[in-house]
Amino acid sequence: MDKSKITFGLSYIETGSPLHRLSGFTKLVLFLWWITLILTTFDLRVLTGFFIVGIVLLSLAQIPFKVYRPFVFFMVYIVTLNTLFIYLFAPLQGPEFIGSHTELFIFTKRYVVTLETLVYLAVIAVKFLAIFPMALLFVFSTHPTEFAASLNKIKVPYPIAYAVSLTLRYLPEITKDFVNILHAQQARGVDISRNVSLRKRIRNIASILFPLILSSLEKADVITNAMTLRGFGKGHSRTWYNARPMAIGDWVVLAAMAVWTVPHFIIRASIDGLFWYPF
Amino acid sequence: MIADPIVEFSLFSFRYESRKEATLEDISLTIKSGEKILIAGPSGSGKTTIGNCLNGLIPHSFKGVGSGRLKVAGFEPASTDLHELSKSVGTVLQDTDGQFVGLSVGEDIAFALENDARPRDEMHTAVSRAASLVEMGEYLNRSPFALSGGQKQRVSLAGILIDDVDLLLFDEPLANLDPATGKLAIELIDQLHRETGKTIIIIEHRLEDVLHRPIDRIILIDRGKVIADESPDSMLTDGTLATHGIREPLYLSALRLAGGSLRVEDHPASLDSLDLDRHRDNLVSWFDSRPMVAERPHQPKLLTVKGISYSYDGELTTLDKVGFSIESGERISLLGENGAGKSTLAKIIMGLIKPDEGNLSWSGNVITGENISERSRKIGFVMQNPNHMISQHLIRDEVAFGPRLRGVCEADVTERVESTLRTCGLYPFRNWPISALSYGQKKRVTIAAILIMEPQLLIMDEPTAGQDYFHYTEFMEFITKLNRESGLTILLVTHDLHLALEYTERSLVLSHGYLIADDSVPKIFADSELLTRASLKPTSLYGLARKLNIEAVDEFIAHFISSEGAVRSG
Repeated sequence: MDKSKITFGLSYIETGSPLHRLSGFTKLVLFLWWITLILTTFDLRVLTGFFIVGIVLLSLAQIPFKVYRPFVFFMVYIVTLNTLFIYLFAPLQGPEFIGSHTELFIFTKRYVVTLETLVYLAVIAVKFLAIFPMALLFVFSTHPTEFAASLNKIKVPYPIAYAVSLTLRYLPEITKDFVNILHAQQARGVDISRNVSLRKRIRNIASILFPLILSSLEKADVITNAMTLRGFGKGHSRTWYNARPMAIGDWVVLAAMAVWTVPHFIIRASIDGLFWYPF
Repeated sequence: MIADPIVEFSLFSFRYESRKEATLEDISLTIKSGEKILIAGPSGSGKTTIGNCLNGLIPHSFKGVGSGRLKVAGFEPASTDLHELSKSVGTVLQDTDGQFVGLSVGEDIAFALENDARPRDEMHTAVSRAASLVEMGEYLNRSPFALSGGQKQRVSLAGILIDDVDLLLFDEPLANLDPATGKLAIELIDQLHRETGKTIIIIEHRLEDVLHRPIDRIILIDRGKVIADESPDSMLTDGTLATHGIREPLYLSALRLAGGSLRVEDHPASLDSLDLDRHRDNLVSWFDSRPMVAERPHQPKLLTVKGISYSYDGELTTLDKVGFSIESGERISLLGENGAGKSTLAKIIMGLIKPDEGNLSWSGNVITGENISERSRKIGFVMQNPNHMISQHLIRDEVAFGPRLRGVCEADVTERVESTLRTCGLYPFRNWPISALSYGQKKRVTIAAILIMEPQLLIMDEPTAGQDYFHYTEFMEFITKLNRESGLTILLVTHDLHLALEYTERSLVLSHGYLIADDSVPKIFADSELLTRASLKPTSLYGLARKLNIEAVDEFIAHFISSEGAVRSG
């Protein structure tokens, strides 16, 4: 049928890299571990380390840069804005947390820049930036059903896990229906552009949503019947065709995580207060 | 050979919870293990309900009241667990998208095994075996978005074969396929039947297409009752099928038009088996007596399409320099397989998408720049699925929707709505909620909702989808009347060749984005090479003319169309 002009930029891309060959379970655990460790540390050295490792892993996944370039720009934009506003709202948060005050220069009486402020803001920014490559990596290298399978493996009930993969399966179909309905209504004179008043526009949008909801419910019925006829929801557990069995690589990655966890928390405990501050 | 019965209905009745009347009444029939059966009947006859009784969706998913006895593969569906029943009865549903739940071919085929919690390695072996049965072995990693309707259907079939079921149930397997793909589907089902010996039940109203391969028995259902249960040869000799809204094969219609009558010994079930000896002279003299047909006088050009090209992604060309024109009052069909670019072209004509190249003119004025709203004053577009068009609760409001949006005053709206509903035969239902209507009636409402805007050109996208012969004949006759009486120009976008043959005079044939033919219907239908190239298939009239050694196949087809049209419109 028609190739829709709408595509989803954030989805699985097969490149056959070593990271793609890891089991979804390993990647899910890695992702959760990654976030947990980053959120529990305020050590700029450790965070920078995570950031660099994240970038290296992402490049190992062989995803072409142009695929995620827009997300990089978006992320940089968000982080910059976030950091700027933290400073604008609470310019002295850094010195307060770290407990010392080393003035570098002064804009106004309120907006003073201290070394502590810079370290504090850098920690916040790098925290975000370090999570980012791993999130991209996870999304691009984990097939949605493998993701569902691994959710199930960490004890999420399988009907919920399967819903994730069903959503991805039928989202494009519903988009196609939406475009069809939109076209049908436009051809009868329904205008949802700025040419009409807001009130009318809302009413006109309703005339598109109504059939969309009805046709989606109809579709849901068909899908439910098709799934019931093939035994879905019968047993207490199910297996997954796309689940990758654990291989040596998986055990290596899991072991590496375990190995790093110990020094990570030792470093964390060895610092007085939250922040690592050498000056 | 005496085989055990696999399906036994005895005095079985069923009424859906939400209905007042029973959908099935006193059904008694037996199907033996290994038989290949066609269950035929018009929409709303109860044939799908029979299917749902066999696979257990009734009473497990659809609630209702039943009586009598039903046994399927040794089970009583009502008291059997649905899951257990699905190990013996496999169903291929009509909706090829809705039943494809996996994100890849392999995963979808494995679905039943996953739910059985079978180990992964076992699944992978079983999946590749089932996939190669339906010749999809090389597509295991493909996503459903990269498959055609026919391929999705094969995947569904593999997903059922993986369970080694005894009974295969196909619910309208031809509904979403173009003619060439449908033919392949019927051949595949037949091959499975011969190789595995499984019992096969096909629910379908496209009789001629199913009979492309032999069937043991046809069970005709109408109004919830078994009307006939006979071999195809005997079923086709009398006129029972036609009176119950089923289109008989075209070659038989021709035979009857020529004044012949059929006997079982003629083996009418397929054109190949048909013994023509008794009928040859009849048919030839019928053909020789054809009147001279005057050419249709030319009318002013209404729509001219020039050098239209379009690509959705800038790489794959969907339409390549397509050009043609439509005269006022013509009835035209736009033919082509699924994905040939038909819908895209219709959308460009409607102004829903802008062509990359080329232009459109209307009565000589260029309209390429006009927006949808301006175009919709001249051109009406009836979509394939009525549920995609209906946005109001009451029939009256749905029909009034267009004029109201245009700001027509309420008194005029009421008057126009009433007169449109009268012409469309919907006036008695004007205050009904649309949800109470059947699919066919909804279709009628959407046609009324477009006609009220008084378009000069009416485009209908796959008007026969989900409609049986009886119901589509009804509204197509009505559209034809409008064409005759008020000169409404009609463009049917379709892959249904019977429809094009019956209701249009000229055909445009699209294939892979190119317009490969633009000619009169008889000429196009007489060109088997052209039709094959467009993944359509020649009708049996072509085969019949060949069997009769008639050279002027196009004139044979033309004579058939005019004789049949005269009979149909009384």
